[in-house]
Amino acid sequence: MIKLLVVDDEKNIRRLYESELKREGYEVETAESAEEALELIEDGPPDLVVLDIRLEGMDGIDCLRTIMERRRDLPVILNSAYSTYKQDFASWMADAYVVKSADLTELKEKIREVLEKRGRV
Amino acid sequence: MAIGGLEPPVVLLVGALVALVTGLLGGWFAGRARSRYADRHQHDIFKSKQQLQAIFDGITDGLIIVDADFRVIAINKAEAAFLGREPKDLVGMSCYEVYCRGDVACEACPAHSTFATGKAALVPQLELSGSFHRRGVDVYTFPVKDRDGKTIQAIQYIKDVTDRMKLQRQLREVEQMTGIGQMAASVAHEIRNPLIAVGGFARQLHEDMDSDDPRREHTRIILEEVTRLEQILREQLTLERHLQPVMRPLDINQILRDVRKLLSHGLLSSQTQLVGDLQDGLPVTMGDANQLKQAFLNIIGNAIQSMEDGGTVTVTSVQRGDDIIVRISDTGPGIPSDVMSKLFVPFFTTRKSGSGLGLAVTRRIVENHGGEITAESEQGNGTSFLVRLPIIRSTAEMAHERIYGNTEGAPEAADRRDDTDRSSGGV
Repeated sequence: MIKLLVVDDEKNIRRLYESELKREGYEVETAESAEEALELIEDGPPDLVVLDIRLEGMDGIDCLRTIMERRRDLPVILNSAYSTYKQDFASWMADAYVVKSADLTELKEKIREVLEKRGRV
Repeated sequence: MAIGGLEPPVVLLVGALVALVTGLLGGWFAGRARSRYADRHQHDIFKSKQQLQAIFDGITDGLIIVDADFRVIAINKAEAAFLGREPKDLVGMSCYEVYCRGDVACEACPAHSTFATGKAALVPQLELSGSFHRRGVDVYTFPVKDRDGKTIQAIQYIKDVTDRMKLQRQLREVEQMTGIGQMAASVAHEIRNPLIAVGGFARQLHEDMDSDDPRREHTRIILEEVTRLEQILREQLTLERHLQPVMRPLDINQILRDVRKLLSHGLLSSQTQLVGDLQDGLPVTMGDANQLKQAFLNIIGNAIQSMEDGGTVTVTSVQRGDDIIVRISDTGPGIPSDVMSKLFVPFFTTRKSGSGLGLAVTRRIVENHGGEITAESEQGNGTSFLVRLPIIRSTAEMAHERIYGNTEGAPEAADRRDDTDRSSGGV
């Protein structure tokens, strides 16, 4: 089963994503901080990471950098309430950038796309 | 009296005062000339003086008569009270000694202009300090002329506008709070995430229900409203982001052509036309292309949407001096005057689905470029928006000119400057 890791500091958003993505047939792990996410990745890497940017402690952009250093092959989708970070060229390292919305259609599509492109499905 | 903002009764009173002082002087000259009527004239003068004094002291705003050396000839009770003195103590002193504690006439005083031109003058919103408190005043001056028409004295009319100035200051603060939306922006940040959870789970519930479940109507409403709130928040965040434009050299005409391209895919219909009249060879200016596109898109989009039955939107660009002027006119129904005053206020909208941020964002963008936006409309006769953008030259261009000046070393820069000069003279 394909495993996704969702990183978001808001509990209810994690629950929503978990519930929605499980329905899509994925196995879903969640982390509330970049630090926790990096640990989980060490323990057993997922097939894709959905990464929030504004996080307590290490932010999503730094987390993305660290992931890229350690595992270049791990696809990451940045998922932020702000489209401003799109201009931060560090964010170009990510496979996709999805602006957060109550409607998860776009996110689900991007997950499918990226997984296909990376040959994970 | 050709001074704006002065209430009619005050104009009458001050007018009467000028007439009386002139009459008084006239009377005095006449009295000297014909001594046999001396008694009668003395009586007249006395009577005039009494009347003058009564009016003078009856006015609750400040009144001072000064001569050409700014020496106080007379001062009314209200103004003396503000200074914490008696009128008689102040007569003979220079008014600048009293107000500015200086030894030359205050630079801002409109009496300079009145003595020079023989006409009434106004300097609004000066700060004056009295014995106990400061106040904001509008100072009007009126000439007192002798028989030859020479201005020999000036009446200074000092209107207390402290309250008005305080209100204006508060208004500016409120505008900053709402306009730039520091507060609104931080609220927007806080609301966004919970809203995603609300909307996301509502969508789940909605999809889980049978298609004939009557509760689906309720979840549908939740979803619809969440979508609307998300739209407002997105624009709110844009409003905040628009604070920092990224300036690059650009051609305003190209921006306008891009906007046209963007609009041609949707809003324009067979009944609605977009016509451009763009001046060739507009100088390159510094600006944020995306923001300016957004600004013009908002204005032109509004214009198109205002013309439900079709019509024409005309966009013109022209250089006027150091500015580029873009005018967007439509043939729509026009804007009622009560709406006009709120046109650029954030969250104000007349449309059912609008967030009321389009024109607020537009104004913010234009102001961030050092320009200004104004609108004029006549009901039934369409609406025109006027965007004035100062031509901003790049620092590289200015440095180039500083180094090479107008010599042949910099043919490009020199040419461009000549161009600008010619146009500013011609338009």
